[in-house]
Amino acid sequence: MIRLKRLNIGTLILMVVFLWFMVSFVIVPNLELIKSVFFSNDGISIEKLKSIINSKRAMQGVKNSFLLAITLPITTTIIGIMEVLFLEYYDIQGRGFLKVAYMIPLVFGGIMLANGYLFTYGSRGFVTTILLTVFPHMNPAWFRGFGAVLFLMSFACTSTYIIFFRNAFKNIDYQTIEAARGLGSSDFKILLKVVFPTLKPIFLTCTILLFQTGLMAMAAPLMIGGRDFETISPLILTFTQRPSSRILAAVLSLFLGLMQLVLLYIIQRNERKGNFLSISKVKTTIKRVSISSKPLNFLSHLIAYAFAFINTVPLLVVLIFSFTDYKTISSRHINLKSFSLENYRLILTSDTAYRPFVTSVMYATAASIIVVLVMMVIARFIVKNKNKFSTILEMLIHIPWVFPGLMFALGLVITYSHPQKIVFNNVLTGSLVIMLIAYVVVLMPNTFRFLKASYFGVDQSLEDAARILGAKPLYSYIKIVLPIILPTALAMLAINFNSKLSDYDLSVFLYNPIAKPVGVVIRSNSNSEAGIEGLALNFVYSVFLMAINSLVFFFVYADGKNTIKNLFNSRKIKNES
Amino acid sequence: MKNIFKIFFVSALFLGILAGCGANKSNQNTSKSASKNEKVVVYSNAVSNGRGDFLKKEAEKKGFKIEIVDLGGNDLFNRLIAEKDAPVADVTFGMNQMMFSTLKKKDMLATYTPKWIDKVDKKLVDKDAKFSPLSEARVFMIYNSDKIKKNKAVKEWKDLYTNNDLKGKYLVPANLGGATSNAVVFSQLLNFKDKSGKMGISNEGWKNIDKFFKNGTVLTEGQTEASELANGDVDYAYTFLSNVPAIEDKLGVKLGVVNPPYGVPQTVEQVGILKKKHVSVSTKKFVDWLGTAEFQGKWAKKFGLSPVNRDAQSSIDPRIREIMKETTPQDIDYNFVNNHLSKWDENIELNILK
Repeated sequence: MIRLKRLNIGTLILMVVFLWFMVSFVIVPNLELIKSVFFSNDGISIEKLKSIINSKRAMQGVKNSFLLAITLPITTTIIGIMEVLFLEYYDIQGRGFLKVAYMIPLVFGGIMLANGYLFTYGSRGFVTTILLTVFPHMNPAWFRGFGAVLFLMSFACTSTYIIFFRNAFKNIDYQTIEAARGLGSSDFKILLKVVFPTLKPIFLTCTILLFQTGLMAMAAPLMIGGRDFETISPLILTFTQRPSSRILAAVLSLFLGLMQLVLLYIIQRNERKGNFLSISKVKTTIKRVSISSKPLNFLSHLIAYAFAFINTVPLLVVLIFSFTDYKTISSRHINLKSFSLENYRLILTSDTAYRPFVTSVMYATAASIIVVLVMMVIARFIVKNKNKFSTILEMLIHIPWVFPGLMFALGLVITYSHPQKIVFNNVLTGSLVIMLIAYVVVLMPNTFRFLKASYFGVDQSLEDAARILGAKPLYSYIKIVLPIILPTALAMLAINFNSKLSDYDLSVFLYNPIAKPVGVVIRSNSNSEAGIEGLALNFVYSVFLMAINSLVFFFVYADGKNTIKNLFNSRKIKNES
Repeated sequence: MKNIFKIFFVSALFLGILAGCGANKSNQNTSKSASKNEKVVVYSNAVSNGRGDFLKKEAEKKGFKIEIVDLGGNDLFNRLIAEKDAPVADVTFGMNQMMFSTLKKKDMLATYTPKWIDKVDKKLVDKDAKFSPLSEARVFMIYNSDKIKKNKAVKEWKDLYTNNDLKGKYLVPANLGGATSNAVVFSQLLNFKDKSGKMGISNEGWKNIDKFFKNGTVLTEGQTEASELANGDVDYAYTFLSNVPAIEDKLGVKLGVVNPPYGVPQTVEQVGILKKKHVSVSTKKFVDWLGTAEFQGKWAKKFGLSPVNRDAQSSIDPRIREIMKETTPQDIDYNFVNNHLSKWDENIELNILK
């Protein structure tokens, strides 16, 4: 009885504080924005809404976004699962190289990734140049439209599979596979009937995430979709930037947001039907099987390496071009003379160039740590307490999905540019903390999804056993639950950090003059109205960003410190012997 | 125990936020109390490509402490308006007279007459002294003059879409987010002013602009307008005045400039002080310095600008001077443009761009 009471008080305080945060930084700014957009001086204008429906371009954009949102989860799932199987289930030669290549999408994304693909497959890209010598009559601008966007994004979005799906896959109880094999099942049947069902929570989470990524896709459609395949996000962005058109942006975003919430609702219902659990209690690691049929074996190797090259080449291209001048970048004609360190010199010697990196690293670190810690607690609460309140709470956490970052940022600025009681009469606009709050808010939904999925992997009977043996809740949490969700939590730390390191949408309206983030610098460089030199510098910026991202992954997720230690230790041992 | 664990984290977050607010507040207080050498926060869309570093260095030499917020024209404008009730910026410069008159309408600017204003053509000066002109910007069509002879080049925008040979061989804006692409559009639309027409423009005007966009090609591959031209992917593109020397230098092409019979749009970049409870002395002094012939001269020489301060005009890059002679400013009613531009843009974005 006493314990129950204590639990309630603790939970109560926690929930009050969290709800306060949600109300003041999620609900109020969004409502304020809706108010300012829909109930402006002109009143509600139906004409504006009509103009969207009558616009062929807007409607086509919505259709295209939807098409991408439906197809992307399918293609990425196929590629992602194949990659995981190549790494963890089948025995493929050169696994180390494949592992590194498959991890590239984790650190290489956004505008620069699209640039990398363009420089490879675009009309002046080197693959196209080679193809043109073989087929002189082909269209040099073949890498355009829906197919090209889908191709690029399918590979670029595999990162969730490489991290979370792979993690879950490795934790599968190998004895179940052996048992199935003993009963005479084929490899394929084992995968389908034994392995995949246990990975359902991760599947569902990846599906939602990919649906959302496809729906909101920005850089890839903008840069390689061209006029044949325009999606809605770039249009929303332009409308957001013009105060008088903001209502159009808000309507379109609400529409997209609703689609996501519907999908989320369906998946939540599905989740409630229950999940299979197969985490090995007695650790038997998966043994990779070699494919017995020779042609099939050859084919798997071929595909595995093809995937690796598709991931690697654009990155190498960006790396190479970062050492060339603007003229080379625009003509794509490389010769020995085009190489110089000028771009690197410009960035490294300018006193204003490194500060944005420091700022972004600090903000991204703080935001990702806060959001992972808080979501670990909240997700646990929601998994443990299935009632109306937790369902509502879960929906609240997903609100940031409804409005694009730029709009949410505007809402924050407008709401807190004068003292508000809910934040104790502070003016937050122009302060250092407002950008951090925004980062935390937009990182919540995805972090929550993945942590929740990993809590499903915790076997309740283990916890019960600990409790019966007299372990206190915190002790059993740290000793039993934490080790199981830790890989996900660490991965989320790294992923959140990387996604906010080069953020532009939120930062542009929120950053304090003394703390300019690197994403804003990059975007102002890539704007052709700002001049022509920025483009070359952006290659260098993205190389630096990739380096930082890789370091974070190496140390936070891949346990880099120990890897290095082991490296030295093994050398020592060798030397001694 | 578990709950203490939870409470610990959440209260840490909570305290962190409060501490953040508090820390920032005290910063503001200290900056208010120090009357001498106050920090000046400058918002500008004209400080990219090394200009900001240069400005900061020059300002430091004169004893100013400045923080620069470098944003694109639209982002800058939006951010200023969003921060209306609690302006972070002290000074903003680089936007054109239309954007500044919107800020003026919203009562966001303080009245101030800079010391250098008598060096500037009176016609360019705002009569309420809410903002003051710094330099001229023009937007025009360009072509590679090594490839196309001047007498063979098109004479005006209309020639681009009435000549079938040029279909897909000229660049049109992919979106109307920037000042340059806006100028491309309104320069053409203004030839079809019609009070009874849709948004003040005749039907013929809309048909023409539709054809202009449909026959043109857009920039997609992460390039700039100039580089597509230099690569020979297109014959005609457009750019703004101060970009010409940079393009010619970096891409090794000689540009030809098209001056239509009705001229090219000319906008004037302005500087203004944000209205606040307390406008610091440093802010005023900074504006007094920013427009001086001394600074504008250096600035113009290094970055290809064309200052309106008469004493600084001797430092204008010779190539810029040449183009200024080659082009004539279009006679534009900027009030009319300012009142209609956002509707025009919206219409084009929804119904014409495809």
